Amino acid sequence: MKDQDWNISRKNFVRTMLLGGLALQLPWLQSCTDEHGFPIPANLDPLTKDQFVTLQHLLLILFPDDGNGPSAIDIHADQYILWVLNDPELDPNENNFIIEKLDLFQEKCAESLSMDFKSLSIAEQQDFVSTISREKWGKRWMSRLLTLIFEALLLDPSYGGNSEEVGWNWLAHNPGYPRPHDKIRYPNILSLKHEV
Amino acid sequence: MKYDVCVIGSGAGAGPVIYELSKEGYKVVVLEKGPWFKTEDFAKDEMVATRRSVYTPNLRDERHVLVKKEKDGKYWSKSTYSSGKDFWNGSAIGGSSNFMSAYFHRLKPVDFKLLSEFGPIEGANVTDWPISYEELEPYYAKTEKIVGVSGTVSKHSFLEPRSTPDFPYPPLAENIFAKWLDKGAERLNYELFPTPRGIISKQKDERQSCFYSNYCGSYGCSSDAKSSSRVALINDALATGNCTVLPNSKVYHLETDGKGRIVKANYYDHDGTRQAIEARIFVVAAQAVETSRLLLMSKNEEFPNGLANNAGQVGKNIVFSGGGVGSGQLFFDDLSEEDASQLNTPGLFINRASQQWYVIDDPDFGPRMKGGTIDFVSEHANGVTKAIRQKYDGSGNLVFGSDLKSKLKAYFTEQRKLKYEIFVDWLPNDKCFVELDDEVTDKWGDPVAKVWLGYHEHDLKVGRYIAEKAEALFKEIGMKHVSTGISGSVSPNLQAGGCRFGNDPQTSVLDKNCRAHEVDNLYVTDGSFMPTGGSVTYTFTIYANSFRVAESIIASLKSQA
Ligand SMILES: Cc1cc2nc3c(=O)[nH]c(=O)nc-3n(C[C@H](O)[C@H](O)[C@H](O)COP(=O)(O)OP(=O)(O)OC[C@H]3O[C@@H](n4cnc5c(N)ncnc54)[C@H](O)[C@@H]3O)c2cc1C
Ligand code: SF4
Repeated sequence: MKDQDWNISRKNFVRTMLLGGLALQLPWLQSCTDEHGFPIPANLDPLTKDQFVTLQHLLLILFPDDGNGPSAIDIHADQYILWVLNDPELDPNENNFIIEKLDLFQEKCAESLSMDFKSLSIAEQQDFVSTISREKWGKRWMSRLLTLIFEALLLDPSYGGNSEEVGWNWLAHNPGYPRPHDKIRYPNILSLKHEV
Repeated sequence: MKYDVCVIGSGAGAGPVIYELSKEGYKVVVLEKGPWFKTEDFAKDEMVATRRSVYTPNLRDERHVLVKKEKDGKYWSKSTYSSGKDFWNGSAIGGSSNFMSAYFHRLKPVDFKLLSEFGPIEGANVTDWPISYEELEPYYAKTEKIVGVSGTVSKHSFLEPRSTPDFPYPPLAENIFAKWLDKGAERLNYELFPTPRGIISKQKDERQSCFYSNYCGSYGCSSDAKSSSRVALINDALATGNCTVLPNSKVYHLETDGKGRIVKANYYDHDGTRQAIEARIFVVAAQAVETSRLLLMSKNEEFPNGLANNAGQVGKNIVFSGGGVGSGQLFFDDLSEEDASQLNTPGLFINRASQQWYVIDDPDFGPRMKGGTIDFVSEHANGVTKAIRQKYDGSGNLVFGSDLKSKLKAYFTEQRKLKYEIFVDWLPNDKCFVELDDEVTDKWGDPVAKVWLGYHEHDLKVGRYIAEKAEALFKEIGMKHVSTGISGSVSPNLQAGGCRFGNDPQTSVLDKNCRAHEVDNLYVTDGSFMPTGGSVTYTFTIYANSFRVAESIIASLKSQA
């Protein structure tokens, strides 16, 4: 593929840069760690630190570090979700749903257990997640989070999850070839234009 | 510039017309709504292929309104943006044919005369075709050669007559499971045959043979082995110098001259600017639903109900593919190491089908009736999709934590799931049609297609009959957890009807050569022409018919000259 074959319009070019820039913000290089040792990226938009840390704890209940394959944090599901929440191509209602229900989850936890979710013991966290997963909204919300965990686990590592192909190796998953390169990766591929 | 032919859409229905007319020296322009992905733009990236809207429009910008029948018989309507149920298939140069799995069966002679063979069915608008299988046969043979179909002819009760002894491309390599199916079929007295595929198994000019990438359906092909309209036809058309392809060009209105002829196709270009193309002949192949939508949108004084719709037939009798899907599992622990490893080899095809019950002649079941096809296939290799299916337990509760991880690990590493797909006719009926939605518009402000998805209960009855045969074979070869889902739900990728061809202008939109009865220079060459769909996937027939119509367009242009 030759460079002159490509003609990226100015508008799309700017958009690619923005989204590409966002993708580049993902690396955990820029992150510090919290008191639990979880990496916290420098830019948490659109989440607050409290929301993000709660999300990390929840993800670890949904997809724990239990000796059987990678955990949600090992596959960077937390940072992957942050990237998804910033994707302007996705339905904003779906993304707002994730954030709104995260708040509701925290509220319900404080209401019923008078504690922050992240301050509960693992067993208490599991019980609470189990209770919420039986509520209609909770089931839909956690189902969406699980889908995003699976994306972080099994999509190409260039999307920020599945670091060093840990998900593919764990599940002996054959990803197929050729693998995507930068220009044809989402969202850059949306701006591809060939000369007519 | 005035072109000879303006083609709207560039998928399977458009390709043969673009190819034949360009080769014949006519100036052809193609207006395609989607972008131009080239072979080097395709990779095995599940994100791009199925997790985000890349090969299909973003539902925020373009959507459908679907009207479905609930179990209680009532209908409800919802936009696909709110439901998340995407109804797009592939919007790009080459259309959905870039992304098909390419199971390619011909129709049978009986499919052309359902009404005369089996009589009417109450609540269904069954009718005979105005042409016979024999008239279409040479174009199936042409498609096999030019577009590229692999397979081998194997005798069975419903093998259709052929003008050539065998397929031009030998069958693709098979997974050991195909042999196990053959053995089971022998014991049950079933007829199986190797499934023909629109995939080439040896090099053809610039196109390389299939390299068994393991990711075929929903993915673009990196070797050009898949017989998409883009690689098999449009690339050759471009090489003639007579063909101009305009991607990102969405046609919104076909303008007539007040004397029953189209003069212009009005479209939005990539910037959203209104443009127009003039041509002598216009060919619409935007896939059945969008073709009906465009004609309905092209209203004017001459055609107040939409172009070619003075008899009120445009959009009526849309059909999908009836039937459903079943599956079973084989666990590696139950197999020898060698068998398990062969079964688990990625990429090789199952490629077995049965059409033993294409017509059901079983007094215990009822009068002689039209049956269908079984295609045996692998579970798709998509990792995320496979994982998503593990989210719930048998009672529909969400599984999470270590239980979920164990379930995932077992599913991915201890078994292989194989499937069968049942194809039966989707009986055309008054509750399955396309109209324009009154409220919802796309990003250009045009009304979207409102698609009524009513089905006939008869389809489910036939589907279940055939599913039982497939289930019995899976059980015979020791598969576990065998189950089938037969329903009236729609596979959006398999669309036909909406602009039936026929001899009577009061009951059909197109004549037998797919020219509109009411508009002299309008042809429709996607699956819209089909009055009944047959019990196979449509693309082979769409290609063949488009080659047939191309000849008729050439004859018409020659006579005008
Ligand atoms: C995942 C998948 C698997 C499939 N597997 C099989 C299979 O195994 N066997 C089989 O037979 N078939 C299969 N199909 C179906 C097959 O792809 C279609 O039957 C075939 O491509 C239909 O051809 P068409 O020309 O009607 O539509 P398409 O090929 O979809 O082409 C229509 C084109 O028209 C364009 N268009 C729409 N509206 C406008 C407009 N207003 N202006 C300009 N352009 C417009 C669209 O963008 C699109 O590119 C599969 C499809 C998919 C998506
Ligand atoms: S290489 Fe073969 S299996 Fe892969 S996409 Fe192409 S035709 Fe399909």
